[in-house]
Amino acid sequence: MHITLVKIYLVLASLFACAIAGLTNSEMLDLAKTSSKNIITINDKNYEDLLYGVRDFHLVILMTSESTQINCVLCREFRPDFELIAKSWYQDHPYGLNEVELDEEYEESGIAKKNVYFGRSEYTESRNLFQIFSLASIPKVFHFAPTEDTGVHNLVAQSSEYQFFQGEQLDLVRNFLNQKTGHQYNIHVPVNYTVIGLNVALTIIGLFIIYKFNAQIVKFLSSPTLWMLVSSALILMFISGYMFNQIRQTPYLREQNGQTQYFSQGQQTQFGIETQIVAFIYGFMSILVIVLIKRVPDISNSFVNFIAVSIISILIFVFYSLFLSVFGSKGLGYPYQFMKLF
Amino acid sequence: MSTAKASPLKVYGVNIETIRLLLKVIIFISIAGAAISSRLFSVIRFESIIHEFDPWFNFRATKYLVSHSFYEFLNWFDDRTWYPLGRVTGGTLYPGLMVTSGAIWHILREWFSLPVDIRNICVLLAPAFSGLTAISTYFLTKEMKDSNAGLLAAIFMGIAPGYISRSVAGSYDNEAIAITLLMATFYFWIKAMKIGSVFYGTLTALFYFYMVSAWGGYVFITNLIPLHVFVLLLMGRYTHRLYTAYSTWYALGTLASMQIPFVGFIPLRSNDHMAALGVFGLLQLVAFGDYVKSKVPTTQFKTFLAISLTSVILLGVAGLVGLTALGWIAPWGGRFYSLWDTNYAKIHIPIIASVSEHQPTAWPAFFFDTGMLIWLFPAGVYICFQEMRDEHVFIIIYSVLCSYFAGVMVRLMLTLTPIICVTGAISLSNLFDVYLNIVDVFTTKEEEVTEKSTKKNAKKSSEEKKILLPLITKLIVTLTFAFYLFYFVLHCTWVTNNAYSSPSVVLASRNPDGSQNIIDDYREAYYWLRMNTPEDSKVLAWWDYGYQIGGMADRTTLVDNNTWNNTHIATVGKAMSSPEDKAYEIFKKHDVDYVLVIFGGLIGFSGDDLNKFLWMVRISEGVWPDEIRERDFFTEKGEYKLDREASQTMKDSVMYKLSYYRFAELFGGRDAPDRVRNQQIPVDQAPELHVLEEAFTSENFMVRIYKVKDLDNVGRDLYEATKFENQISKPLKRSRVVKRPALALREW
Repeated sequence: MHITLVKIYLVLASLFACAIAGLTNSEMLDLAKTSSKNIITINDKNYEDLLYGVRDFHLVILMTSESTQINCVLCREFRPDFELIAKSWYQDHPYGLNEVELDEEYEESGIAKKNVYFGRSEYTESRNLFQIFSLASIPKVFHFAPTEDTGVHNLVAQSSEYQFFQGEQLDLVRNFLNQKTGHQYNIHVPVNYTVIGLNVALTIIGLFIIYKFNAQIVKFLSSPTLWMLVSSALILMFISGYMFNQIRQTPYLREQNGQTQYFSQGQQTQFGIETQIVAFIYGFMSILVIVLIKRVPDISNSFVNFIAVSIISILIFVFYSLFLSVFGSKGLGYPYQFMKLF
Repeated sequence: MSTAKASPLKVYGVNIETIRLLLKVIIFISIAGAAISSRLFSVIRFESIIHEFDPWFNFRATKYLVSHSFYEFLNWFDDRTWYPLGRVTGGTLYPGLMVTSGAIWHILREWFSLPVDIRNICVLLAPAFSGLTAISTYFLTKEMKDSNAGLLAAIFMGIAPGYISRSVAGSYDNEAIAITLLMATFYFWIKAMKIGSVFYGTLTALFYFYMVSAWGGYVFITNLIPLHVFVLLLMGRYTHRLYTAYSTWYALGTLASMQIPFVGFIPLRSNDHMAALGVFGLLQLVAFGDYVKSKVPTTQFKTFLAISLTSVILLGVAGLVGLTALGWIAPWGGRFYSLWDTNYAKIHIPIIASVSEHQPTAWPAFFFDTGMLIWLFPAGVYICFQEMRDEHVFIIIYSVLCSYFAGVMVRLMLTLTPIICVTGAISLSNLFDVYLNIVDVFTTKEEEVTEKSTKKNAKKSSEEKKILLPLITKLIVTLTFAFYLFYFVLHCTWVTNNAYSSPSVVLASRNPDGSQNIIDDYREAYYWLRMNTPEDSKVLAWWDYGYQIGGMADRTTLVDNNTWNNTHIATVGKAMSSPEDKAYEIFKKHDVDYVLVIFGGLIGFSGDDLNKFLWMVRISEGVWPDEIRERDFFTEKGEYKLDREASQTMKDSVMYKLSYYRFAELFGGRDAPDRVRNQQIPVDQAPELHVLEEAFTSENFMVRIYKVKDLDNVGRDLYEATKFENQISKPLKRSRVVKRPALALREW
């Protein structure tokens, strides 16, 4: 309620002022104080007041969309980082810049020391604004430096855009803002009490279970079958490149021109699904070999024995051929294949 | 068997055991022959030459060792590297490799009067040791199953590409002998643990000592054996044999390892080694508990156990935390962290992350390095679970741990390969035990025949069927697996031939007509440095080439492959990524006379400096975040571009200028194509040099050497001086231009 009131007041105030005058620093501070997470919501109704006219502050705007239609993954991933920076900044400067910071009027970089405000613009509510920037992709972060010009600005020329590079976005944004505004940005990660509470609860429950059922647990843990399954699963995962997926964060598979690509080209890369396929092939062939060693010789009927061995041998052959085809298709000109499967 | 004991079987009057021994010896000789000869591709194709980077240092150190005394070697202070710091080489290397080849050299020379060049010993050391590795693997596998499995494991080990990759002729690196020692140490450990012998425990310690002296990877043994013991204790398999073996190994091995100057007191202080110490202590407690248990009633023992366990755990944890806090024991090393927290290196130590060997392994590499063994591997582990004797526990732990390590770091494929060979051999020999044994078929037949011989002959055909069907069954499996094994050999040979036999000092390419073209730019340039520069000149190059410059050009380097000083490496990175004037300050401060860069853009050699450039930037950014920023080297869109769109910082950087200096001139006025990055280098923005001048460029432009200009005689700025000189020399240039059409005509 309070927020909308302020907004209405602002809209009215701007109407009264014949020329667009922009908001003053203290008005912005009020706005930031009342906004949720201290990020000012910018939409088609208020962007003219916020962006045009004399600007006595730095303004950082996140152009994003949480709408399910647009389904912007990066927006959702980036949101917590942006909120954390905005929140931390406000936490450090609830009443604007403090005196010490104001004292050193100019830094070496020559950027005026002004307070920083963070805004967020949702695409569905601010189509006009997005049109001004003619954005083809989101999320975008724009920084608007303080200006003394009145009236309507050329927003595109005035803004500087943050580039989404690979890396820890939190640090990259901080560096970007540090360059643009000359301020240092501390990060205050809020203490997550739910996680702590959950951990404590889980530990207590765990201890209780151990106390209550220790005999069964010991029996369970000392079962060789369990360890065998765990070890085999781990080995299969590791030798089919699971750690590579974890470290490189490879995509599960790739869809290109309507075609689904299951195997990436080149020996140094792979997709997530390759690990599963390869682990399955290895595991299946291992099982076949084990059956051949342990189970088949026990069959006393020599004809059944013959059939079983034939089937298993053929299966091994087929799977090995399949595997070699897959390996061959990864490039590097591997010459040894039993059959050309694809 | 009892009859065999009573009257030993004889073939042509020779005892069958003797024949078996003879066969074994012949098989071993063949295995060693196969192992050695498959590692000789590079010697045959190129020449007897030391490979790659690190081997050049080992080679240089070995030359120092054979020309000086052993103590001089241990006290060697090398003032030709890490200028101006120098390196206490004798105290910071693992001397095992050099001492081994030095010893062989002396023995050949003094006992056999064979004056062999030390280089040839160094080149052929790794293949020779691979034969020994095969034999140690045989003994290790024999302990797990029997000698059949052992022989299979030995031949697998001999030709598995995963091991060949580090032990081809010329690959004179620590791993060359370390894998042999690894296998030998594990064999003696298993033996010692099995029979509880102090003798074998001592041998384990002895080989452990040799291993410590040879390779930093000894930490693997230091942790694997305690882990084995610990798991056995958890499984309730404590025996006095275990106690004897472990205590002997730990006490002797630790004392011995501390004799290596580089290791020193690390075994007592580094957390890497704490597991071994902890298990040693635990084993004493368990032994004591075992003793108490045999003397007191069960109920009393239980309370005794509970109280002592809690107090020991509390004391242990408190002690460890306290000692670490006091700084008495060091935290784990960076490489160790990067094994567990895979993002650790990326964030904190770019220098470790930058090494291509430290990248994670994609699945093709596993098959590439071990062939069909990779799918026999899980089956072998399963069989170990079925048997589950103490030594099989060892195999299982080794398998799981090393699979993980190999998945995280490509270079650790090397330690996984032996265990894949062992488990693969175990499963295959189990298979052959069942299906190669055709004696069963005939023995049952004989018995049946003798029983039924009195009966009618009508059943004869069905009798034959009964023999035939099992025989075919066995043949199917045997033949298919023989076929796979045959392909395995082909696979190994192909991989070795294609992937692991390049010295990387000399490159080979194919001409369109299929003939071989040898690219020998490295040696050409290093030889030029050796012959044309003052002996005390200092060469600045990226650290990859430090050892080669030291070994081949014999010039002082600023940084080399022994990456112990991150700041110094970052200094070089900064010089390369700064504009000329800033770089010149660094050059002058470090007395640099020549700057060397590797450039592959002309012939398409992808391992050149421009491809490593981002790491130089990152490493120096880690030290000077204010001055070097990685982002500045990308275009506005965040791409790594070197063409017209390249960022100004990139174009100003010394690395860019040195790589592309006069590069466009080769293409007669057109934009120059960079064949590695597939980008067009603009001809009208050709880089100009002011503080450096081109001294040498090799045949294929791969190595480019620049001389750092001295301060100007008349005190001008070097920029002005260069400008002035360019103006003077303009007429000269024009006269050169006149000549050009003739060349251009021929080209058209």
